[in-house]
Amino acid sequence: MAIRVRVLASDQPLLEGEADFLTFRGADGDLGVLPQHAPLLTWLKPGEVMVRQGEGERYVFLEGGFLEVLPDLVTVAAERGQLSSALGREAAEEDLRGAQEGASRDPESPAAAHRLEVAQARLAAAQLQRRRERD
Amino acid sequence: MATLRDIRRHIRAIRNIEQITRAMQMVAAAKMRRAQARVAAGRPYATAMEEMVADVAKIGKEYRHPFLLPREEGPGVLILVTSDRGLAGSLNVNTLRAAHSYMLRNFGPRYQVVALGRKGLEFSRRVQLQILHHRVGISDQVGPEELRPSVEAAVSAFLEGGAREVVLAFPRFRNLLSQVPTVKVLVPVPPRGEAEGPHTEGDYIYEPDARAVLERLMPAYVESEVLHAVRELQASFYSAQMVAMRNASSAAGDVIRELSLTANKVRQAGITRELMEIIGGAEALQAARR
Repeated sequence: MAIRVRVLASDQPLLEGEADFLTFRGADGDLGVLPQHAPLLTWLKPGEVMVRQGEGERYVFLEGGFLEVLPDLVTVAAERGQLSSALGREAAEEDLRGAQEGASRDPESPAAAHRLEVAQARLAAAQLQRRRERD
Repeated sequence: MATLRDIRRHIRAIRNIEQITRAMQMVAAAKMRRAQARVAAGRPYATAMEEMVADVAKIGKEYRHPFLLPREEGPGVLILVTSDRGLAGSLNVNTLRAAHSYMLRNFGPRYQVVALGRKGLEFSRRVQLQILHHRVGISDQVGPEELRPSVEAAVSAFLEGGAREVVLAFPRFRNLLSQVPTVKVLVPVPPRGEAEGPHTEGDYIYEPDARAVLERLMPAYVESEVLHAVRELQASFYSAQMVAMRNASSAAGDVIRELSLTANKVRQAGITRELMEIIGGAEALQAARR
């Protein structure tokens, strides 16, 4: 028994296929979904979605977005995202430095705070991805 | 009758125009290919957001967001997506006509507009609509952030301004030769048929809670629709412009061919007339000598 999953960013589809299990960072914390899960609707925190099928695991980094679980389909839609394998650690570090500067210049701005949160999550995902590639 | 010099000058002028239209055709073709790729890559996301919201409209019961509740009263808001520039055949005219007639029918002549693109803005001023917000010079690599203020203007006209409907109008890109004027209601979310959508008993589990999720999801849905409409416009615009410029180039070629023919006739007539004069003169001289 598998569940159909589609992960879509606003400028490109990222992943589509069957899965046995997936995990993601929901609004109230990390969640896992198996086939036959009850309908669920949540927003996503910046971070990775993991999609497991058989022995294979695929990772997608999303800057936020929404996730809907239906009996036969999981839809993940985010304005921006990319496959974790396309994340570069140097670029993520650079991005984080820029975000930190922005946040310290304007500590009240929600946009700057969000950018910082995204940048931190991106760097964490890039580091995880490197570790996975080493193993 | 035009002199040979006039005709030659005319041919030169048209040849210059032809060079310009041919160059514009080439530029539009290159931009069209990129815009087409973007519209195709973005469509699954826009469709998914639409489906998600329609699912919520169907099975979500815990919290009914204002976007899910039909209204009886209030003005209409039109998000009007057109190009900044012309030379694209009837693309904008068709969109404007479809949108305007829908709004007139449902809301009368004084509806509200969020104009994305100069052609729609000029039209809105001409027919004296109430312009809530406008934006020109949208980039070809448009992202969600760029359109956010425009979307916010439309959303707040519904949530705070008491509008009855938010309507989106744009030319949908079908292929090089066909761009379909599209007018669709975004808010309130149009209901789906019984057969469509998820078949499930009971409501979602919401995280963190129904109201919080929907208050984020609903504006994000409008954003995704508007973003996608702009991408559809861009692919449509460059296609229509390419075709218009190709037609202009070939029309210029036709005119040049015709003018060249006339020029040759005029030149030939001139030569014949000169010969006649010479022969006539020679004969007159001979007659005088005898």
